[in-house]
Amino acid sequence: MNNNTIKINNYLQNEMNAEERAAFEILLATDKELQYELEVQRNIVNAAINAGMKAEFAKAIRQKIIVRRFIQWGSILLVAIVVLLIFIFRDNIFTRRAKVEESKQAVILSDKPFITPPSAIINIPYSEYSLDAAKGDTIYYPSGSILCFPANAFVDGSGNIIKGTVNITYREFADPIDFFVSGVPMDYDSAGVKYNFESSGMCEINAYKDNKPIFVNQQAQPQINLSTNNRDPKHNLYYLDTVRRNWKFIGKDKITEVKDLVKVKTPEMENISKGRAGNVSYESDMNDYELLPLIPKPIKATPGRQAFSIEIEPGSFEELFIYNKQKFEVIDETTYKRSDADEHWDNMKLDKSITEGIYIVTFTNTRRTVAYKVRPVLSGTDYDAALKLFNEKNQVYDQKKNNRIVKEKIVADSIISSNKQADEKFKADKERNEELNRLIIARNKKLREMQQQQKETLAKQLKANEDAAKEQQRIWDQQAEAAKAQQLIFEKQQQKFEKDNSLSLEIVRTFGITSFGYWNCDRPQYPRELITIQAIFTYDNNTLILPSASVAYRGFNGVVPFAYLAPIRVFTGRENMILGINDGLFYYFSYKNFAALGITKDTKKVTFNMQRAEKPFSSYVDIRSFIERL
Amino acid sequence: MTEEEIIEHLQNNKYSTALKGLYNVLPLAKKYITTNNGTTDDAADIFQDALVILCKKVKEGNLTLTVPLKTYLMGIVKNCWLQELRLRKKLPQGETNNDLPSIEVNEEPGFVLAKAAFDLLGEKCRQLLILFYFKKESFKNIATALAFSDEKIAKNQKYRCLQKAKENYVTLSNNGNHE
Repeated sequence: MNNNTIKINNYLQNEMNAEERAAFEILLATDKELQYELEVQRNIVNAAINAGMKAEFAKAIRQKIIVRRFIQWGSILLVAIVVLLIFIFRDNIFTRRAKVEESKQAVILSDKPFITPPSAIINIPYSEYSLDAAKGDTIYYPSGSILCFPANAFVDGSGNIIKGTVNITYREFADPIDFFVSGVPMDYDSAGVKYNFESSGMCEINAYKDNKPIFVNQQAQPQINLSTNNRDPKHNLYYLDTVRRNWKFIGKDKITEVKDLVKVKTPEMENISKGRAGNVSYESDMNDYELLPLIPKPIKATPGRQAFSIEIEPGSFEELFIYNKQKFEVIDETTYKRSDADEHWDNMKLDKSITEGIYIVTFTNTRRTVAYKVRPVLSGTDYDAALKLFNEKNQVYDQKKNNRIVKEKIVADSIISSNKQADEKFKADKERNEELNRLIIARNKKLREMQQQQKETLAKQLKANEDAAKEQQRIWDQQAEAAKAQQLIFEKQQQKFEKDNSLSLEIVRTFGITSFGYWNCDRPQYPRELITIQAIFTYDNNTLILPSASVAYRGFNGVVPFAYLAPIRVFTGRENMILGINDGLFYYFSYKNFAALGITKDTKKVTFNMQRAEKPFSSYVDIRSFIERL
Repeated sequence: MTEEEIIEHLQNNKYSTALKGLYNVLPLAKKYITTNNGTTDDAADIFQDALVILCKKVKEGNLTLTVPLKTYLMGIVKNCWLQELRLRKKLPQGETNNDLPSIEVNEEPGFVLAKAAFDLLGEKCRQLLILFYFKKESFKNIATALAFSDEKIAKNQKYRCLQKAKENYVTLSNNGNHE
């Protein structure tokens, strides 16, 4: 083979000009060897291209294999590492899981505001009032509660007394629906033990001057007369410390039953009527005194005077058995015949005379009857022994007598003091009750006015509805429905105020407030029937997240909220209801459905397939009327 | 990746991308070849040859699909392996596998001889010719890639390598190894 490599290369690579190419092709047409050489070189070039292509695919395959192996071995290694780590830290992982869950809850809870209503739109609205701070005023809330603001009841942050108009916002929480929608925590921590609050009345009061919060003047504290129907004296007064996130025990409120106004009988008065004053009981002391023995002083026999012995029936004259060997000395010897001592007598009778220590002894037989005035006497050593006994007994008697005199004085002083205190208290209670009575009469008048105003407003709305265009009708109907619902609640509240002093169910709980905020008349409870269960919520068979599920218990005026995933506490043997809000929609598990589950104290986990209100509620009145129908 | 996309990538010299759509044929090729007197290395080599043949058919416009592309590729693998076995004289002439399509892979004897002649070159020569004819790199880049002092030397080296390949070809042809 000749070396035409360069020429052939130029020909194959189109690197010849037209003349060169034409000359090469003329030569190629006749030169067999050149043809062969061209064919060989063309195949070599194609082999190089083929090899290049194959190398590209080989490279791509290698990369693919490397990536695949990396993923495979990487996955295996990762799984191995995870398994190894789980094995090494298995104890920590499993023990910490619960803690992590708890801490998650804690984080969730601590990150959340302390008071978290499930939905702002359904929260209880505030009632707003204005008053002259310098003069003070009395506010009548539709529930029947009365707020009394004395003159100069407000101070600013520096303690300066505020003058001019101040604004008051006030609202009350009366039952589980109110507690649920408000999101106010209803648990109480005492010495590390969590209790549920059962409320007999709760309220929130705030005061503002020019839209800035103001404070209570401790020298002129406002007074709240909370209208309720719970007279339980075991309920205490608590204030919600929103900084420390707990309820603070304040003390006791004053409880007044409205129908008994001015007829209050204080416990002290009752004690006195029973004969007790304070801690001193004189009944038992008087009994001690009455049981003191009355020992007659022994009388020495008169020398030479007639005396005789007789047998006395045991138990008839106890004073004659105190001393041994007593004889009966005849007082008037002129009536006595010495021969009578020798006569046989069938009967002997002893009687007390009208004179202390003198007896009449009567002897009878078939022939005659004789009687003598006598006195018991002792002689010689018998008298001495009797006198000694008398002196001993008399000493004890005198001691007891002295004690009695002292005690009687104490009792007398105590009674006088108690009577004085009772009088003062009765007077104070009377004054308070009279004042409260006056307030309630004024309140009821005010409420009737408000009710009338409400009715007129409603009538105007209804009239407006009739006149409205058809398109507007639907909107007005909704408003009218809401107004009716409001009216229904209002009328319900009004029922207990229809008669001034015959309000048999109304209880007024009175307390002064030291701060603005949440005040609660409550009793912390931890009923034994409460059990803890793990709750899973579903709706339409899909898992449901309820960020704030709450449980209400019928007959227990409280509600217990539970964070998402936290166990819930339910009453076995009582009616329970679960309430929750998710994405603005109200979910519930009714008393009836709950009862059907048959939860016992051994139940650990329950799936609650919740029901849902058809549409989101637009107001507190909306949700209230819905839940009340359940 | 659809068949159309694979073909498009092959046409545009995007071998690595096209391979992603064809890679899952490799296990089938390995299985076929290892159960027919071959090794996994044979399988890898034959699979690469099959990809080259497919790619050339695409570029030359000779691809007519009557079966799915991957089945078509397996048909090429089968015929390439049968051809290789015939070269190794391990398979009687005319034996076929009816489960796979029979795709024409017979290459001209001169081309087969040229591939052998090319393979006999040294690594640097093969790289140089691939860079020039397949990658169409300039002599300047080739000089840089293969550590020649300048492009003139790279150019001269290219002619030497080409000449050497031709000599190998003649030698192989005279020895009758192309059969």
